[in-house]
Amino acid sequence: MSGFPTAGASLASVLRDKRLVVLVGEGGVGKTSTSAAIAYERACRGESVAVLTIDPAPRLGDALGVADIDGEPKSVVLPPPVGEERGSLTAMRLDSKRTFDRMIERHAPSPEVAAALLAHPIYRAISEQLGGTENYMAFQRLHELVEAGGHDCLVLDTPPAANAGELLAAPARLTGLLETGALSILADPARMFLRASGAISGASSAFSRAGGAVSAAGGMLARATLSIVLAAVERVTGSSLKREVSEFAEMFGGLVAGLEGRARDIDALLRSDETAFVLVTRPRSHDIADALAFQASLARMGIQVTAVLVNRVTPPARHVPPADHLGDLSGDLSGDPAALPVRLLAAVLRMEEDMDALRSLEADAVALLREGLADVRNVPIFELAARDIDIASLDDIAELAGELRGAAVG
Amino acid sequence: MGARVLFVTGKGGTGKSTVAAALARAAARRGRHVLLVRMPVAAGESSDEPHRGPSAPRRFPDAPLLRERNLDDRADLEEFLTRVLGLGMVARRLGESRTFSAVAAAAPGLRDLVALCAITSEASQQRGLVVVDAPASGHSVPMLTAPARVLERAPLGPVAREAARTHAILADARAFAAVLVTTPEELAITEVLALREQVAAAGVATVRVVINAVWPAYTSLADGDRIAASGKSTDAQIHWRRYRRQAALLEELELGMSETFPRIGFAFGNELAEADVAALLATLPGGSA
Repeated sequence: MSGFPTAGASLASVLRDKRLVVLVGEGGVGKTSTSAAIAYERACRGESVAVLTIDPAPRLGDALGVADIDGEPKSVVLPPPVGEERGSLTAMRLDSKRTFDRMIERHAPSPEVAAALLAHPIYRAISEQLGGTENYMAFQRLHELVEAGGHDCLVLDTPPAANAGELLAAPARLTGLLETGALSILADPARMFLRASGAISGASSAFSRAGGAVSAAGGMLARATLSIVLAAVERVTGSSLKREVSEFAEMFGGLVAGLEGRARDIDALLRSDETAFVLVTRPRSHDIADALAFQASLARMGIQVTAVLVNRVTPPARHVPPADHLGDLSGDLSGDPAALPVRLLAAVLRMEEDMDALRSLEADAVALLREGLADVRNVPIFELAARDIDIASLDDIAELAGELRGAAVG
Repeated sequence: MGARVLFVTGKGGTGKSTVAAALARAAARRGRHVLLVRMPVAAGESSDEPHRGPSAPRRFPDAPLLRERNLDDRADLEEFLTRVLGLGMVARRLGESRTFSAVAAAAPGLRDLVALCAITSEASQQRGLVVVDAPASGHSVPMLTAPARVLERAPLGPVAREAARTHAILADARAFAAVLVTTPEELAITEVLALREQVAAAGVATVRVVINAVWPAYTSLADGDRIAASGKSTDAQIHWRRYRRQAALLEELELGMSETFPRIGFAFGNELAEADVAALLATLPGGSA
């Protein structure tokens, strides 16, 4: 079993001194509602907090006031302060395309180049289609918020990703692809020989390392091969790919330094002591296996998970001896008005059996998690009970925030 | 005509692999020859390991008509480069892992197309049914839409011919079906419906949404409500509320869409219910012999 920093600590207390809380994990495990609850809990302590969500369920989006995608911060109305001073909570929903556009506008050498880039077919294809763009943009947006200042705490709900590489390597993949990949080779073949030995392969940030498959030493042959392949693809498809690529690479080249600087800043931010990674999962063996793989991939990048949250755990059964239980259900001879007719008892018992089967599945899954984390020191495991209803209002978020203050179960 | 293809995908955690395997077994039990195709490990993860080459199909003593094999993306890309592009020399270099990573990373669209072409050409050499336990939807949808994207951008040349061949198979409602597995949760359903539109827009003629892990009810609405209201059993209360919540969601969904979706019951750690799987299979191409 993994040790806890402090016996009886709650998730809220573990995160208390963190200025950036990043929630990671598969889609559908409840990252967005947990992000909202963490942000809410902090705001209720008098802090100024922003939560950046990706794709909230419609009702949750409504509860936070971010149902429409516009990327603009929305103030969430907090309940009257209980005792202490009231903080502020702002919710934002990420719009990848707009964040990308803003980034181009900011780093382009001139407004004309920015406009040409934004209208370029390759830019449109990349910004709309390239996998991982959303991950990249989440961190870009985060960086914008950090630079803008004014918040005591930022909570980032990340897009679903199967591993940390997919989540964090996006910037390297993008700049790596644009700079050292096919595009620059086609634009200026001489450049790749300079690049191969230089900045990219030498950088030691998580981003660069994760993109290492493309950019590491030995990549020269790879790139040479790549240019043959791309040239061949172009020859056989007869498209104007090469001209478009040269144009694009030339325009994009001016932005690369700025983007790389940004990637380094974000990397440093994520490695700071004031940053926490909370891995959210569900008590199903499939989800736990994914969560452990995610934790391992983060560890390979040198990032330690601060806490694991097992969400939607079935609450424990009330232990009643079966014989008494049947009597209790049917009211026995007591004349209890809520007593159930005997014909319904079979259905009740089947439901109870199902719940026990479910608990046993969940217990197996959580045991897998403990086993998997046995070698990782100081990663506390927290559990949140399953809820009967979806998060649909600020009251629900407040309730969930209250549960985060509860002690660790695991 | 070769084998029909059932391309089973869904978000992680929806049970798509379980559904794919159950469909394959159910079809084999009904006398169909079935090949269950699983996906290779992502290139980014395995690129530093030595390349082992394509694996031989596995057989199962209890299901003689069922075979299972893993796709091999490196071998598939090699085959594609050699056969379609005539680039045997480049293909032979793929043995070197970094070359493969570079090609795969730099041309993600090409990789999607290659994987899909590998599946359809595998199917053309088989009879019966090929069930694909496809990657999670985030990676599967780009695969299914790859032929349409290639044809839109570059309608000429050998790559386009290959894309057109695959596109025609996807557009044949009797030859190919995409099965999108979802759990009965709001977010998951919203996503899967958006995916269905994307996949259909890319020319896939048969796209079926299947709702997996549907919570059971053991009594009538009135009785269930009575059980929950009595407060006699917390477990029965949780069980029933969960059922009611899901039932309301599914009713809203089916009324809103004016269609019904095949359902598979929650498995509680057991195998999927045979009747649910058989009913789903019957709605799919090649499902009814």
